[in-house]
Amino acid sequence: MLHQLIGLYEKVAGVATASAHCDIPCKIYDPCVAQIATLSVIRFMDLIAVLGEKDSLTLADHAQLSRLQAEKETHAEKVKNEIRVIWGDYIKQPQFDKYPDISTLVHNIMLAGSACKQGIERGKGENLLSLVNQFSEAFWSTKGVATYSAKCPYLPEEVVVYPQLQ
Amino acid sequence: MIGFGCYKIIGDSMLPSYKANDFVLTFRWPQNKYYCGDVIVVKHNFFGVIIKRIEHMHASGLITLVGDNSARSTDSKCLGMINFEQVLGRVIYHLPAPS
Repeated sequence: MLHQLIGLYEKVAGVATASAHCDIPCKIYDPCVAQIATLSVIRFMDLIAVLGEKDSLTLADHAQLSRLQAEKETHAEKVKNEIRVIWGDYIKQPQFDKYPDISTLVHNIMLAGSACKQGIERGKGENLLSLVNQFSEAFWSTKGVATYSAKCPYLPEEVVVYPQLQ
Repeated sequence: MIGFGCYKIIGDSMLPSYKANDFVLTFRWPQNKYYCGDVIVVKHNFFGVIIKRIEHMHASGLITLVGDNSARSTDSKCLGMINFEQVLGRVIYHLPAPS
């Protein structure tokens, strides 16, 4: 009934539309998704380490450990995929000319991402973040956007490269 | 700028929460009243007026968006980050279309 009333109002006065659009090839890329996924990986490693400090694990702890490990692997894979997409779809000859080592950097991210899937050592997560931050700096530089480094205001409170957009 | 808005949804990227021909009422709260998971209407520089869910609030004040229907939604990578000035409001009432 209410929907019909508003529908009637729409016909008379008009109502703005909000598009929940889909499948548009937009060629817009942003490494922030990979950075956030990397922070998640480190956070999961920290939470796993907390469980490791216990003398014995309860059934609930085992369930929690399984979830943390699964999510760590999922997010590490997400990092790899996000970087691969930017490298494959956005990085072209002008970017290769400016950053001839960009492919090596991307390959190192792939290796570091896999290491994070396999291991639980925090250093592996920190290494992945360092590489992804390097990639982010290079990415924004290709767009002429300056960057700055700041500690993310939430756990794991690691330093992240952000674009200076203002 | 604080105020109400009424929008009719087109497209499928917010299924199953919101479907085409639903109406939503929005209110533009102050910037500190938005949280991850909120559904907001945004004036996007490239895509026009869109409805999406907040995926992440960045320390810089920028916002990352995501659709509920990941199979049909332009993902946050394509949408990029938006600033608060582009936010038209958060959904405060959802009126589903008759099935």
